[in-house]
Amino acid sequence: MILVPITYKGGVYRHDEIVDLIADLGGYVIQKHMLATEVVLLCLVPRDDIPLIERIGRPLGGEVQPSPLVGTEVAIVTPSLSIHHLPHPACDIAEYVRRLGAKSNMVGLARGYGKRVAQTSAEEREIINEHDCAVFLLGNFEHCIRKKMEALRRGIEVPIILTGKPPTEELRRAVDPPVAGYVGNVGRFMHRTKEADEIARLDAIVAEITRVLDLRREEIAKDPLSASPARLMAVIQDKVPEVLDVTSPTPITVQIAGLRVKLPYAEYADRLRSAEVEEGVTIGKLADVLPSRMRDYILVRIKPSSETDIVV
Amino acid sequence: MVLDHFVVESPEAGAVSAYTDIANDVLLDHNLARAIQKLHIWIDPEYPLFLVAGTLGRLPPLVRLRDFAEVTYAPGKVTLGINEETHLATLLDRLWSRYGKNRVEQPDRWTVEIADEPDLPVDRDLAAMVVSDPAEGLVRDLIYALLSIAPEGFRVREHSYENGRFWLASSENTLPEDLPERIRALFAKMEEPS
Repeated sequence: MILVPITYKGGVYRHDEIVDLIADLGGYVIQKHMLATEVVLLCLVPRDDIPLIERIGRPLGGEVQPSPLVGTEVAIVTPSLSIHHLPHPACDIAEYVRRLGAKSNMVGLARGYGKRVAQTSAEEREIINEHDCAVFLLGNFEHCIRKKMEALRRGIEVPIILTGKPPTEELRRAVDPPVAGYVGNVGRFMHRTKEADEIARLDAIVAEITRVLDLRREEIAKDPLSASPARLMAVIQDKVPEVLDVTSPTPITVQIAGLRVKLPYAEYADRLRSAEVEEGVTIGKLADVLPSRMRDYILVRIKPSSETDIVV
Repeated sequence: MVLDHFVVESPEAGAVSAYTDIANDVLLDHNLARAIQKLHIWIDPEYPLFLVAGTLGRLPPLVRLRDFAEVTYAPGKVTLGINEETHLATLLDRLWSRYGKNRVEQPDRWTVEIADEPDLPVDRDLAAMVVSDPAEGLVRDLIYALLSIAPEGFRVREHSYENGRFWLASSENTLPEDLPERIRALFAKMEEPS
């Protein structure tokens, strides 16, 4: 059964029927937003059952859209959190990526500015490496991007998508060894993105993130994970119900090959490890349960099946 | 943005359009577009160096006490009837520093009284006292805006404002020794007929 990411938008009235239908079909609701009279469900559902969800959702005013970024966590890395880079373009991009289903986190570097002094700290690198990919939002000068990327990329193990003002081809030439993705004509700007050409640039960033993450999924598919992250999410919600009381919008953030559980590591890590997925198979056997560098959260990294000899 | 002279120069062509947009957005956001008459920006990413020079248009006039208050002299005290509160805080600051807090009273929102003592009389031309110079705030806002336009890593900075002409230089390294000549050259370019 192939699960595909979709967004369901519809009325609040009888939306529980859609949630139940998705569960019955073997899908998972990753995130649920209630916005006044509208509900937005980010979910993973079986590909063949999308027409069924559309048919049942139509009388309830529901629409189904493919959302390739559902179930991913993306770091939007900006050289600093000053007026020079925020709120535009960093917040605009983080917000746009979020609309397409990704969980985006902004990482404002303490010393990411300046071509000579730019650097990342160990904590920043570790936080970025907890994501599925990192989008680096650099500026307007090719010369500076070339110099800075050498320092900023050091220690980053997740795929990097580089954005900047020079055209994509120039960015590609400027960075050696190459990074996973490039989006040109973005750079630093100080107004809200609302014109058609600006929205097109945001679309280009989303397309590049999607391409890079698809490659990552293909790579993972060669040695499949011991369990799907969405399945482990459902198990954790069932076995550790305290997570349902967490007020964060995503108490459990689903990643391509893991999860971020927003519960204190010291108190809940052992319970998480011993939570049974199936008889005799616990999360501890399928995944590494690690302390996250983000607050005191728990990071679950699912091991490949070649390592555990288990697929559930 | 309509200025008499607005030029951005850089060896990297792509950055010229980017910084033209940034300057445009920042100056409009800070309501400075009308105040500035000429602006010339030079950015060299190689050194790296950010230079900006420009001139202000017609400066707003000085705000004097008579513009927003009526002054009445009576034996033993001088009463100020405030018509508009905008500059009241600055006025009180100035009166306190000139006459001392013990001599300045504010019995109600619209009245300020200054005790007139024979050995320390209140200025008979108090109405002409300069309360605030809007150009000071304008220049402060202007420098802040220019720093927002400049690349963030350029932390070594120097700026100047004199008689409606301003310039700002910033860099990641020590500012070049020939900075005054470069600034003069930018002003000379601004003076050239377009």
